[in-house]
Formats: sequence, structure tokens, C-alpha cells
Amino acid sequence: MGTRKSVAALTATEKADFVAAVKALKAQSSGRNYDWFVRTHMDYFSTVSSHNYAHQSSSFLPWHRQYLLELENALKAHNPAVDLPYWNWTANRSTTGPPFTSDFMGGNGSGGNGPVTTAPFAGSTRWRINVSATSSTSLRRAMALRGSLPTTSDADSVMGVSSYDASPWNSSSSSGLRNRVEGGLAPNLHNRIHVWVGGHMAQIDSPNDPVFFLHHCNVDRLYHLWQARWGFGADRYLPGGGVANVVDVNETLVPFGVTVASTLDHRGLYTYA
Amino acid sequence: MPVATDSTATYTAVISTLNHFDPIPLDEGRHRDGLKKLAKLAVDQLGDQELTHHADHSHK
Repeated sequence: MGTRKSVAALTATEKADFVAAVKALKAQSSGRNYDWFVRTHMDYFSTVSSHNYAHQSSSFLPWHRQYLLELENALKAHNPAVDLPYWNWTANRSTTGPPFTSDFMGGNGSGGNGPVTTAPFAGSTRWRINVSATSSTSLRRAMALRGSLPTTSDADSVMGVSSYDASPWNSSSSSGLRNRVEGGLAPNLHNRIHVWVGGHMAQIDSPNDPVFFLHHCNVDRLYHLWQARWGFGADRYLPGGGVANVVDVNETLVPFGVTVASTLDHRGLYTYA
Repeated sequence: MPVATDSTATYTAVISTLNHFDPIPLDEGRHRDGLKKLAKLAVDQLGDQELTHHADHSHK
């Protein structure tokens, strides 16, 4: 069972191993390589077969949980010692601190919304953007120009919300954990990070920036903490069934082929440090 | 977007490729400048880039 650590707690070796595994997945010529994950996020960005699997829907948290797990397993195929780390943006809030150090994710883009200039994902020869809605082949960031980072108080506030989600199960839901985390409701723990990092992270092809996975790992960690308080059982997910065009607890998360219910108690697969 | 001139509803202006994570409210009241904000955001986000064919990526 893997243990997911904070990016701030990684050793130099763990950072190097993670970067190497990500680059190996990018270079993989067959199967589910890194660009498959970028393309899949784009494919499921909006409605697929009358369902919003990935965004603005109840399945936002379990869909991304499974998406991260598939990515983590793909990295482990290159190095079994690699676990997905999380970026706790309530604690690590600098554009030059973890995870944006030159030995890990690299820093900001140049000139506002330009290419990242510090290794190891700087420039198209080190990290080529192949699948994107925009034409840059180099990874871009525009940190802290728009958006803001949630505070500890923001994150703590959603832990006290007992219900998982509410009708109409989308970005208009006026109560529940899911929409507060995703961003349709304050404090908006997820969307604003994409905006704050900017560049590719602000676009439909946001997984082109590897920091995407560190951000979503933290979102999953917060979901884990909420479950630790309120329960990991299938009864804690809503909707429980019978809602058309919304992924109910026993429906399959496409394209992964697993049900929502099967993702809820992850403790046999990984835990958080 | 079919908005009646006397509408009091607030809509959300989104170009999913560029501002899914930062939707902009748009109405005939205090968000009358929503389209202008959306246009500025699109220009700022694109910079010297162009949209690719993936910008109209079809969903399955």
C-alpha cells in the first residue's frame, strides 16, 4: 500500500524519482502514456453519453480519485517506489517554494503567461506539449496573476459539511461538500488553484502541467479527511440512485470501468501522510 | 445566448477551453460588462498563442 506525502516532505531522491517516472510515462510509446491522461481529461471535460463524469457533477471527486490512481499505477510501472505526492496549497503558498522548486515542478512562466524557464519541465525539448487547446509546445504558467489560494480556514470550513452533494447535482447545487470543493460554491477549493497557477493549468488541457496531479492529490486528500470524519461507506455518497444523467453510487465511472462505490474506501490501496 | 432584453437572470459566460475554472457572470445588471471581461480573459490567456483543433474537441 502506498503512502502519499506532502511535496514539502519529499526527499531529493523522491523528487527525482517522481520526475523521472513522469518523464518516462511521457516517453512511453504505447498503452496509457502521459498524453493519454491529458486527452482523457479533455474527452471527459464536458458531457459524455449524457453524463458529466469529471466536472460540475457529483462524480467529480470519485472520477478524479480513480483518474489519479490510474496515473499513479502508470508511474509505478516505471518505478514501483513512486507514490503520488500532494501539494497542500494552504501551507505551501509561494511561487518559488514547494512544489515550484527547480528540482521538482520548476517555477513560473516568463513575462506573465509565458513558458516555464526553470527545469525539469521547462521548454519543449524537456517537456513537449503534444495535446492542447492552444499552440504553445512549451509548458506555460502565470502564477498569482488571477485567482487566489485557499486558506486553512477555507479548507477546514468544508470539513463540517455533513452532506456530500445536493440536487441539481451540478455547479448550481447550493449545499454539500462536492460543490464547495469543486468551485461552484464558496470557498471554492479546486477551481481557484487552476486559475492561480494559470497557463496550461487554467485550460481544458490542464493535466499538461504535472502540478495538476499534485493539486488534485490534495483535493483527494481533503475528500479523504472528510470521509474520515463522516464515513467511507456508500451511504455517504449522493445521489444514491435513480437520478437520470447523474452518476449514481452504483453507476460506472467511464472510461475506468469501476463503480463510484468501489472508489469510496481507498484505504486498502493508499493512504495519506 | 437567448437573453431577453428585460431578463433579470444572471448567466455564466464560459469558453470551456479557456475559462472553465473561472466562469464569468453575465446579466443586464451589475454584470453588464461580463462579455468584455470574458474577451479580456481570453486575450490574456492566449497571449501570443493560437487555438488548435483541440479547442473544439468533441466529446464522446
